[in-house]
Amino acid sequence: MPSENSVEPRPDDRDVRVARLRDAELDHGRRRRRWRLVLIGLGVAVVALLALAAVASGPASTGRKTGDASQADPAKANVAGETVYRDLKSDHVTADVSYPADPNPPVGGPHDPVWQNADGVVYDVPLRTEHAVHSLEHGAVWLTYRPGLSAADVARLGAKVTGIPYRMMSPRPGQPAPIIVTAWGHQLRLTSATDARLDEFLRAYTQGPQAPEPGGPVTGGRATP
Amino acid sequence: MTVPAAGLRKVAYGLVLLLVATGAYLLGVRPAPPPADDSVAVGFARDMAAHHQQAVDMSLTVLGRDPSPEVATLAYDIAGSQAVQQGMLLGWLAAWGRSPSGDRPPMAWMGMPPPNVTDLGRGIRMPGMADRAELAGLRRSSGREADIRFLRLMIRHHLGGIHMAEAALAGPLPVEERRLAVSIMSAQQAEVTTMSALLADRTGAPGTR
Repeated sequence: MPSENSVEPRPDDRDVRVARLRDAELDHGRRRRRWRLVLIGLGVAVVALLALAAVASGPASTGRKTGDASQADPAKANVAGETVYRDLKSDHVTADVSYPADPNPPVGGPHDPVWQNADGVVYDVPLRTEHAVHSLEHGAVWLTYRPGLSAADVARLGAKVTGIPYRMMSPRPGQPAPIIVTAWGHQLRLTSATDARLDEFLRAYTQGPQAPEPGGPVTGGRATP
Repeated sequence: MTVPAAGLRKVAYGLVLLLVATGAYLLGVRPAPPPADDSVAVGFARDMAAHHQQAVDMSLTVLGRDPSPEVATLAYDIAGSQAVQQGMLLGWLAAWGRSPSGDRPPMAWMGMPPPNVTDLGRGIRMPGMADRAELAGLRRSSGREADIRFLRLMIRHHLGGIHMAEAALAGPLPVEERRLAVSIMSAQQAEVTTMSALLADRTGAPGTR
């Protein structure tokens, strides 16, 4: 303690000063200890809250995020390169419908009262569009290919459809891409049967939230093309 | 005199900041609590599930009464859709820890008065539902008469359902339930149009009754 040597010659004064310094020192120590306690408390609180945050954010964010394929947002494109269409009509008509030239196949619109069965059926001839569109309304995904696709590719595509409810496949002459997947209001054109986006699209929209009539049957309708 | 503690103090301020940030994050991501027992979300799920149940029953009934192909297709469509939608509604109730039926009278969430004694005596608890005599009439009829009875009952049933969906959409609903309420409203509206045309074909008279 340098202050002891440097100051005050008078002995009584000196005692008082020393006592005062000692008090200050004690006080200082107490304050230090108090701060340490505060720090430990805060530290514990932060760790506890962080742990809680980790637990809370886990399940909450997986179920709610729209990017998750199982929770596709029907108002948006959920797969890279797909086109979204809105304000589609859905009235029942028994006459032939003249669908617009684009998109082809249509992604919605007026349709026949009878839907095309789409419980994982692979058709080898073209479908009547008016029936197929009704299946889209019920939440089906329709995989179409332009005739001329290799037998191996047709088989590869068929394997993604066969036996999976709310999927169907058929050839479609004159469509603008070799392979097209269509759901109500959503369409993706592909040139390769191995494009990974095909699986993304099938996953996002098979019985997906884009269906205007969720739960509508894809059995008990038209069984043949 | 507290100079030596200044370093610690900075650490403490840092911790406080972290604490506030974590708290704010927690408030943001915390999963929403399940809807209350007397909420619109729970009331609509319960009542619409029960309402759908009768539509499924009437559709399956008419399928066994030799209906026309048009009515058979429509009935198959309604039975399939509404059975699945009923499952969605009941599934949400289960996930929320709410029972499929509650203590409150039906339609209380819509601010509607509880069903009166006469209606309850006829087996009616909600707008548009068919009473026991009407259901028995459908079960006894066949062919063209079954078509007509079914169409009249289902048009009225759908109008009641649309009314309920509209009321639900005015309240706070989880996003999935809101989506279903919207599709119930538009799909049933479209089916009312279809059914009115089918009914007019069979009775020679336009209109819904």
